[in-house]
Amino acid sequence: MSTEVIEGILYALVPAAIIANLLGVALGIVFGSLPGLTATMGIALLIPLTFGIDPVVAFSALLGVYVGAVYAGSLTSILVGTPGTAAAAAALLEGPALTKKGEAKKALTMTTVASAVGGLLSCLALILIAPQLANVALTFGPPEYFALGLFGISIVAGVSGDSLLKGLIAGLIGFFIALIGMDPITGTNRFTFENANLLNGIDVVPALIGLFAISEVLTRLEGKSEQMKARLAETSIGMKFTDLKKNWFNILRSSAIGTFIGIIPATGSGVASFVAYNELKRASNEEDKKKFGKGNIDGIAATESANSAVTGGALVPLLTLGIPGDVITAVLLGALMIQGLTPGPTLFTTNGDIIYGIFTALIISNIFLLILGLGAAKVLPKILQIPESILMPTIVVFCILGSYSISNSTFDVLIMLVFGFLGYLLLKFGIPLAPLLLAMILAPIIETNFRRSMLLSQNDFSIFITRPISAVVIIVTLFILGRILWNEMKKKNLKQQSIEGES
Amino acid sequence: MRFLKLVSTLLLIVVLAACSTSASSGSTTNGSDYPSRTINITIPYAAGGSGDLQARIIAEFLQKELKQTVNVISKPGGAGSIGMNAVKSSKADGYNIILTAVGPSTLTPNSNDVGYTVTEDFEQIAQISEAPYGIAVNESSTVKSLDELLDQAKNNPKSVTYGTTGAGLHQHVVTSAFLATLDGVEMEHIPFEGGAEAVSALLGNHTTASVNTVSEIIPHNGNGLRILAVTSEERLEDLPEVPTFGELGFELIGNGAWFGFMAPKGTPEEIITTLDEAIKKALEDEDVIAQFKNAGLPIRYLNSQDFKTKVEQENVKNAEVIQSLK
Repeated sequence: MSTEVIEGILYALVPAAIIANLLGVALGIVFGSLPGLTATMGIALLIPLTFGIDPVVAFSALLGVYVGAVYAGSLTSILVGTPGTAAAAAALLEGPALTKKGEAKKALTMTTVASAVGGLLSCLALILIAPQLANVALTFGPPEYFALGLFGISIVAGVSGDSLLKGLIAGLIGFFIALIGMDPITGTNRFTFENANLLNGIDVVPALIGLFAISEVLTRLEGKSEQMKARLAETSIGMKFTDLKKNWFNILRSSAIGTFIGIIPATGSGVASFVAYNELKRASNEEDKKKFGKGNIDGIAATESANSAVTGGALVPLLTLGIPGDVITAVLLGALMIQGLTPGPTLFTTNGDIIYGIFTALIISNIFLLILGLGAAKVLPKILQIPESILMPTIVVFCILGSYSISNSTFDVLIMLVFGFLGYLLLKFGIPLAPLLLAMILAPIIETNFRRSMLLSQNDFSIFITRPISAVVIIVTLFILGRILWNEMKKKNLKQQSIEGES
Repeated sequence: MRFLKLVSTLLLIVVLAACSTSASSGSTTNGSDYPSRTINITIPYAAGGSGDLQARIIAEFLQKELKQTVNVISKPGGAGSIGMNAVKSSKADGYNIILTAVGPSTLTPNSNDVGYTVTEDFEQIAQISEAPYGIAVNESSTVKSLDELLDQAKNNPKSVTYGTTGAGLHQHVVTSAFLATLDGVEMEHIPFEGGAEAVSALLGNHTTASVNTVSEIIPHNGNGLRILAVTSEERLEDLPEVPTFGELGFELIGNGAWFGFMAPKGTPEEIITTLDEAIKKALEDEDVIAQFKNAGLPIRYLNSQDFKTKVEQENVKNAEVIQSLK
């Protein structure tokens, strides 16, 4: 170990850095769990305070917020069905069902442990093989992104619930919504109706808050969902060590998926948790597959370790190439530059000590996350003791405040409410909401990269199969799609046979 | 009890009086006592970006200089038009100003009907920064100079590609206007989502060239990328060996991504002058200079009059190019 490494580790262990880290994680948890307050905002608010502060101390606070916020987005998803970020939407697949079963505490504990493990594993990848991983990121050009997006679409089948057809309907609605706004290649307006608010398209976060939170409140208004109070006594069911033991491989695989997707710029944690969930489901046997969507703790382990593992992954291209993969890392890039550090290939040689300080700070953040999170898992389920007649209106207020605060826009509040109503209607028709959201996230990746590829190849489709990575991903996707169709046909045949048998 | 009532009545009177005086002082429009309350700086971008950062650095200085609270409010969306419209429709009293940039001022209103014209609806206060662009190729490329790149494009039409931050954004407008002046040179434009994506596509050899803000490509120069030319008027301190487009005999319609303060039309001239002077002072402050330098943002101050002339000229030129792109 060189002196640089030791110096770096010591930077991150000074009391000021430790305290900054702890406060950062705490602030991040608050920002992440309130819908509309995002990790990006938390970090942007802190940056002016970091002028003139020691870089490692500053980054202890900033990374603390990042790690805390990415983790905490899922807490409100699980407890009250209100995701704060796109990444937290995957927690909705199993979280609220677990809460309904009275296992809120168990779900939150698993969230915390899975997040911390995912975060730490991605840290390890970042520290040990960052430069090699960065080169992988560079091999991804438009055709590869397109193939990856296409692969993502195959997940729709996994999150559709009972009916593939209804899942596809939801996905197509999501695709259509993603088309609104300026055309990414030519700049032509699509479905904007001369409304300047629609030029940049529908923002995913207000749409998501409406889609999931408001629709849930409306459904509960009907009094159809069972009273919370009855489940109170059971919320104390904790997580057992066996739950963790049986999920070790699941968490490992999900963390690897999260880290990998984090490294590829412009894909993001929203996609990572859905992919991890889908892979878990595909790896399960037929018997276990039936448990999904009904409160399966394994699902939480997958989605949460994956979305937290994105943090370490996203720092790989940022630190080694100076390329931010998403909005949060773009803000972190600004923070690095203010410190006079230019991220890129030379950073490791010129400021090795600071880099190792940052690595250590990230590890410490994940440890604080575990400590604070386990505390939160004990306390937070008590929210459910609040009578529904008070809790539901409070959620609506937070949804409105949250969707306004994203870009100080009343139009976003309107979007949120419209999507709330849309979500309610879709639920009434039994159309699942997750595929809609997934399509909204994936559509821009697929569309822009398809069209970029066509520009690059002068309209020659072979660009997708002559490049190795994209060819492999496309073949795998076709294979998966084939299997999904095959299974559907089989299901249909079985049904037909049973009907014939009855008659 | 009676005593309490008396005290509270007195208190009420004092408060009311205070309010009315502050209200009346706020309503003087000639600007002689400006500023007497909080100033709001709107940015047409999301929090955390370079616009937000510049606004916050300047706001911190103005707060000390003008002895009033200065807020930064982010109103992103609508390709910058949401923030511009918010300031356009606010009171022209100097308490609502915007730190805007080339896109929301001279590109968006020329490509879309967004309800404002920068020259008619805004007063220019001062330009604060201008970040030049650079055109770069991958270091493994055989292209060593801008001329060689243009030759290659001439000999292999459409197969030479260049990436930028996005369709219809300044980098694209400036480059396509430049290419249009050349005979027989055709390069395919690949729009990306932000400068970072364009740089990573060039580093991965997916595009032939890329036009980016220099701060995005300088860290890679000689380490993955080769910068062929920069759009600034003079050579850059950080890139003494890289020629400017002007030196190579090319004329451009823009020299870089500028940021500047504007106020709604009809803001009293006295107030504009007060703000202009305070901003000028900020840009001469050592701390501010250091912060801009670290963030890779070149300070380029233009006073109210010069800024106004520049915006007028660029607005006309950019409108022409955008029409031709349609």
